Amino acid sequence: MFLIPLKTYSQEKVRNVVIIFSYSSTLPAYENILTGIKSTIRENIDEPVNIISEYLDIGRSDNDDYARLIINMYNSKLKEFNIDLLITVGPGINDLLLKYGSSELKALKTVNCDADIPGRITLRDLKIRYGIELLTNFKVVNTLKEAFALFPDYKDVFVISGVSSLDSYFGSLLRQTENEFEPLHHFKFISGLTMDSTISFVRTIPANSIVVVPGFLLDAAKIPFSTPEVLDIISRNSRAPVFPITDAAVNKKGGIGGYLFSYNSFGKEAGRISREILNGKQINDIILNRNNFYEHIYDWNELKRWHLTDSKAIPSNSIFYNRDDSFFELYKWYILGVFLFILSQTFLILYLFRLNKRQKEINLKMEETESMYRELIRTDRLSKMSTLTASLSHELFQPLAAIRYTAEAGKLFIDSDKLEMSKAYQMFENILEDDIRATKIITSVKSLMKTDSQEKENVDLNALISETATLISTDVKKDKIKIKVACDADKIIVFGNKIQLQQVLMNFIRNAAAAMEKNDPENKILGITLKVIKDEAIVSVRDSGPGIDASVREKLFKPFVSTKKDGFGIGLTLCKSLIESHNGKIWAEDLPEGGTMFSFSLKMVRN
Amino acid sequence: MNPIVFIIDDDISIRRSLTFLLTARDFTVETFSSSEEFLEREKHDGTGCLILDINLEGKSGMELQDELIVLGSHLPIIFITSQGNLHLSVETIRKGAINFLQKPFEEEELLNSIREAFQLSESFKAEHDKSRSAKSLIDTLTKRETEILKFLITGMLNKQTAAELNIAEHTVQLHKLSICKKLGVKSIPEMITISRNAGLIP
Repeated sequence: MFLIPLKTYSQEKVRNVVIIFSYSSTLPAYENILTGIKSTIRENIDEPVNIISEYLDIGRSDNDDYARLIINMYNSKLKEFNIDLLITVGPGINDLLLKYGSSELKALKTVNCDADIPGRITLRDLKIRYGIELLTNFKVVNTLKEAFALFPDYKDVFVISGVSSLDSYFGSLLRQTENEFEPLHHFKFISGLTMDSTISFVRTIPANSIVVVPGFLLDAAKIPFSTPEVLDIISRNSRAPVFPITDAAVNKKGGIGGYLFSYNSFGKEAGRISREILNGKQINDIILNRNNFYEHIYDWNELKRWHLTDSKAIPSNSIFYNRDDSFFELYKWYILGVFLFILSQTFLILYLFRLNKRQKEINLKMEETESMYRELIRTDRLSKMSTLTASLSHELFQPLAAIRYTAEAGKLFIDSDKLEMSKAYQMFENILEDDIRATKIITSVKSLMKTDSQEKENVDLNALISETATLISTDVKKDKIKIKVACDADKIIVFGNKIQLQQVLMNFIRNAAAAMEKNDPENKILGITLKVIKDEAIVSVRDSGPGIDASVREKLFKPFVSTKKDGFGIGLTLCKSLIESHNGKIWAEDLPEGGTMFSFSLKMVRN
Repeated sequence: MNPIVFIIDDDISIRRSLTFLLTARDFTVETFSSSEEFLEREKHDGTGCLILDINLEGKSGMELQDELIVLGSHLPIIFITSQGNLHLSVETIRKGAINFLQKPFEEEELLNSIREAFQLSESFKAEHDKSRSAKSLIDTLTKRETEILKFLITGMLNKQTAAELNIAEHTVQLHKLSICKKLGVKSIPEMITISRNAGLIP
C-alpha cells in the first residue's frame, strides 16, 4: 500500500512523510487534520513531498494486532526506505509506539499531534529526541457560550455522548464546565444508551432545549458510529437545536456549528511545522504559531432551519458551510464582472445598433434636406421668374410685333410699287435685328428655367451682370428704376454655377428695387458694380432706399426674416448658402449717402 | 397740310417698324423716343394723332396725356402698351384717348384707330380754326367796343346798355355800327355766334 508511490519517485529526491493515525481512516477528525496538513506541508518546498497515511485502527478490535503489524512493517522497511518525517496523530498513538516502535523509528524526526490529556505518554517518554508535540486543548466553555447566545431563552442543556473512551473524554470536558453556567443553565448528561434508545430519548427533549453531542463513536450495543453521523441522526429527530463541539461534523450535516475546535486548523499548523522541519529547521528553533485552533463554523442549512441566518450572535468572521449562495459568494466578483461585461457588450451592441439606425435616419434627413434645399433654390428662382416672365413675354412681343409690321410694310411697298432697294435692305436689316433680340430674350429665360445643375464652369461676371440687368430691366422699368452698371474690367472670370450666381444677383436687384419703392422717381437709382480687389471679384448692388431696418440688420441672412409684406424671407438666406457653396463671402452695408449695398465676393480664376 | 402721325415709344424696333408700316400707307410719320423729346418739338397746329406708349422712361404716357390737356392740345391719342396694364385703359379713355391697343396689335386695329383719330382731329381743327378767326375778329375791337359787345350779346337794348355804361344811347348806336362792320355781321344773333366761337360766352 505504501510501496507504490516509492517507485514513482525513486529517481528523484523525494521527501517522504509518513503520517500515522491511531484510529480508523473513517474518523472525521482525521479527515480534517489530513486536509489541513496537506494544505500547508507542500508550501515552499522544491522537492516533491510524498505523503503516506497509515491508520492503526485501534478500537476496531479488542486487541491491537493490526496496529502492531503496521508498526512492525515500518520498523523493518526503514532499512531500505528513507523517511524524512513522521507525523503521529493521537490519541493513543504514543502508547502504541512505545510498545512496538523500533529504535530506528523513534530516531525519526517526529511531529506528534495529540490531545492534551493528563497522563498521556509524551515524546520524552518515547525517547524521541527529534520530535515536537502539537497538543490540542479543548475549551468547550466558549463553545457553549456561543451556542447559548444563539438561543438565549433555552435553559436546559442535554449532552449526549457515546460510550467509547474518546466519547467519555469529550463528555467529561463538558461536565467540567457545567458549574460555569449554573444556575442559569441546567445540564443533563445522557450516555450509555443504544442508538435506538438515544433516538427515542432525543424525541422527548423539549423544543426549547439545547442539545450538545461532543462525541459518539460507539453506542451501548458496541455498534460503531461516527460523531457526524450521530449528530445528523439526532438533529433530524430533535425538536431542539443540536450542537457539536468540533468542526469534524459541521460540513456533513452535523448540527448547527458554533465556536468549534477546528481539526482543519490544527492540521494546518501541523503541516506548517512539518514543512519547517523538512526545510531543515532545527526542532528547537521551531516556534508554535498558535495553540488555539477554535473557529466560528456554521452549517448554513441549519442556520436557516433555526432562522438564525441574521442572528447577531454569529460573528462576522464565521465560516459557513453549505451556504446556498456560496457559489455566488465565492465567485461574486467574477460573476459580477462577467455580468457587467455582458451587460456592457449588450449596451454597446444596442448602442451601435442605435447609432447605425440614427446614421441612416440622418442620411435620410440629409437627403431630404438637400432635396428641399434644391427645391427651395428652384422655387425662389421660379418665383422670381414668374414675375419676370410676365414682363419678359411682353418684352418678347416688341421685336415680334416689329418684325410683323416691317414685313407688312414691305408687302405694301411692293403692292404700291414704291419699294426702293435701300429701303428694302434697311427693312430686312431691321427684321434680322429684331429676330436676334427675340432669340436673346428666349435664351435668357430658358437658362433661368433650366433644371438645377450643380455643375460649375468659368463664368464671366461682366457678361452675367449685363445679361441679368437686361433680363430684369423691363421689369424694374415700370417701377421707374434706373439701372446703372459700372464694371472694372472687360472680362472677370470666376469658377461657379452661372445660374446660381445669376440668382443671387437677381435677388439683390429685386431687394434693391423693393427698397426704393417709396422713393421719388428721380431718386430710384439701382447701381450694379463689379470691382476687382487683389484676386477677388466683388459684385455689389446698391440702392438709394431707406437703408436696413435695425431690427432686421443682425439677422439679415437668417431665414424668414423679411421687411417685405409678401416676402418669405428666404431670398438672402438662399443667397448666403449659394455664395458659401462657392467659397465666397456675402455681406450688406449701409451707405453713407443713404441706401444699402449688398455684395458678394468670389475668387477670380487666373488665366 | 397732311395730318401727321406722331409716335412716341422708347422701343426702337416699334418706332421704325411702325414708321415703315405707316409710310407704306402714305401716312406722314414722326417718331420720338420719349415724352420729353416730343414736348421739345414746336407745337403742331395741324391735324394728326399721337401713338403713345404708356410705359416710357421719364414722363410716362399718361403723364404726357395730362400735360397735353393742360397745354390745350387737341391731338387725339392712341395708347399702345406692351405691359399687361389694361386697367389703365379706362382712365386714359375717360380723359379722351381714342383707343388703348396692346402690342402686338393688328395693323387693321391701328389703322382704324388712326382714321378715327384723324376725323376727330379734323373736327377739332375746324372748331379750333373757327374759334381762332372769331377771336381775331374780336381782337380788332377797341376796349369800349368789346365792353359794349358783351352787353349786347346778353340781349340788352341800346338804351339799357347806355344806362349801364352811363353813356348816351347814340354813342352805343355808333359803337354797334362799328362792331358790325369790324366783325362783318348784320345782326345780333350773328354777333352772338362769333362771341361764342371766340369763347366770350359759353
